[in-house]
Amino acid sequence: MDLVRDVLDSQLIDENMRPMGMVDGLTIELRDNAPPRIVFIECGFPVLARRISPKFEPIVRWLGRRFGLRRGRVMRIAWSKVKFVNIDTKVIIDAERTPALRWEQALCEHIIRHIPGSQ
Amino acid sequence: MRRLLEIALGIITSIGGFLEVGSIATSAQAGALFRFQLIWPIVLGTICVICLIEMSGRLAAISHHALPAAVRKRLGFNYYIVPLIAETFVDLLVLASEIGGACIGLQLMTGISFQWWAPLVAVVVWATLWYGNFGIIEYGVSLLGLITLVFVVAAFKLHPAPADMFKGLIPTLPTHEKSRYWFLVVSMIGATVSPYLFNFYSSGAVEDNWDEGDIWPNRISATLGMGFGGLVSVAVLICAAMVLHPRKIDVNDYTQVALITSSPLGIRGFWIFGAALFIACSGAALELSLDIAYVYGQTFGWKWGENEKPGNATRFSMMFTLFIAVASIFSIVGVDPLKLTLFSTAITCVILPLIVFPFLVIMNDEELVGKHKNGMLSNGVVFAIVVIAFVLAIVAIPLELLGGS
Repeated sequence: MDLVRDVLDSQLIDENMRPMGMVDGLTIELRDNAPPRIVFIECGFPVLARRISPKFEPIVRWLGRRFGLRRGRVMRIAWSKVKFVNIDTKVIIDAERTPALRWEQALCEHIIRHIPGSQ
Repeated sequence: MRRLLEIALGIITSIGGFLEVGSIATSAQAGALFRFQLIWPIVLGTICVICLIEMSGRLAAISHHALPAAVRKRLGFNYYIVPLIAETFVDLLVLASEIGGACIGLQLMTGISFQWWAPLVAVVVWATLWYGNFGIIEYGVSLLGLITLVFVVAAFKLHPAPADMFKGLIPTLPTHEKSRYWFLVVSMIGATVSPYLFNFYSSGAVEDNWDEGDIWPNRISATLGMGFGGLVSVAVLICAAMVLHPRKIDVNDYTQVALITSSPLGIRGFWIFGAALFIACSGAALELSLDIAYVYGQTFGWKWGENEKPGNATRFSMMFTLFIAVASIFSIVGVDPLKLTLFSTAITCVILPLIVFPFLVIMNDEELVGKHKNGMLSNGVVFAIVVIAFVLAIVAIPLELLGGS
C-alpha cells in the first residue's frame, strides 16, 4: 500500500457507512531495529494547516480553542480500527461516538432543527 | 427503453440548463459589437465543455466519487487548497451575477427595481434547495429553462444570412475595438466553460447513483445536450447581431438586451425575455449554490447530498444557505449585474487551469476510472484545453483592464 497515494486525503467512512471526515494526516512510529509502523489517522484543521506550513498550525489551533467545538484538538483514530482501504478508508468505529460529527450535531441542535422542513 | 428516455431527458435538461446570465450577457455584447464574428469562441467553449463534462460524468459513474474528492485524493490537500479558495471566490461572484440576472428578469416584467427583488430571489433559491430534492433541480428547473429556446425562435424569425454566420465559425482578427474583442473572447469562453459545471455534473451523477451502464448515455447526453445548449448561446449572439448591431446599440444594461426578442416577437418577446432571464439565472443560481456545498462537503468529508434532508447533512445545508445569503448582498446594495457578470466571467478564466489540469491526472488513474481511463485522443483534447486555459488565465486580467469597461 502506498500510504500517501492510497490513504492520505481519502474519505473516512465509519462502520455504518457514514462519512466522518477525511484522512488529513498519518502518524508513523519509528522503532529501533524494526520497520516503521502507522499508529494513527489524524483528522482536523490543525493537521491540514501543518501540511500547508507548520507556521499555520498554532494559529489554527488558537482559532479552534477560541471558536471551535473540538477546542483545537486533532481527532486521532488508531490504525488498528482501519477495516479496509479502497478509494475510501473504512474504520470500525461509530462516528456518532467521536468528535467527528460535533459540528454536524451542534448545527442541527442550535439552528437547522428550528427551521421547518429540516427533518 | 428506459435508457433512451434517460438520454432524451438528459439532453433536454442540458439544453434547458445551459444558458445563464454570463452566456446571455457576453453573447449579446459580442453580437452587438462584432456581428457574427465571435461565434467561434462559443463553439470552442462548447467543445471544451462537452469533453470535460463527459469526463466528469465518467469519473462519477466508475469511481462513485465526484470531482472535488477525486482531485483532493489524487493531488493532495496542498494542491487542492488553491482551487478551493479560487473557486469559492469565483462561484460567489458568479452566483451574485445569477441572482442579479434573475432580479433583472423580474424588473423587466414588473418595473420594480432589481434591488427590491434580490431578497425574494434569494429566498426562492434557498427554499427550492431546502425543501426540494435533486430531481426537482435536475428536471423541473431545467425543463422550465427550455423557455430559453425563445432565442432560437427569434433568431429564425430574423432570417440571418447563413453564409455570414458560417464565416463567424472561423477565428478572425478584429478590425476595430481590438481589446474589447479579445476581452469578449475570454469572457465568452469563461461563461461557457464554468468550473462549477463539472463539480455539479459529477456530484449529480453520484446523487443519481450512476454506474458503468451510464457511460454511453452520459457520452450522448453530454455531447448533444451541451452541443444544442451552445446553439442557444449562438442564437442569442445572432439575435443581437441582427437587432442591436444595425442600430449601433452597445449593450450597457439588460433592458437593451431585451430588444433582441422584442424586436422579432413584439411585446410577447419582451415578456418572454424577462421570464427566460429569470428562469435561466435562477436555475444557474441553484446549481451554483449546490456546487459550493458539494465542493466543501466532498473536500472535508462531510455528509452531503441534495437528496438528504437538511437535518441529516447540516454542514452541507448551512454552506449553501450562507453562500446564497452573502451572494444576494451584491444585488441588494445595487451592484450592476451586467458589470458583475462580465467581471466574473473573465475572472473564471483566471482559475480555469487549476480546475482543468487535474483532469489529466485523475482521468488516467486506473484506481479511479479503471479501464475507462482516457485514451490518446481524450488526453490530447484535455492537454489542448489546459493550454487554452493557461493562455486565457494569463491574458484575462490585462484584457479586463483594457477592454472590460
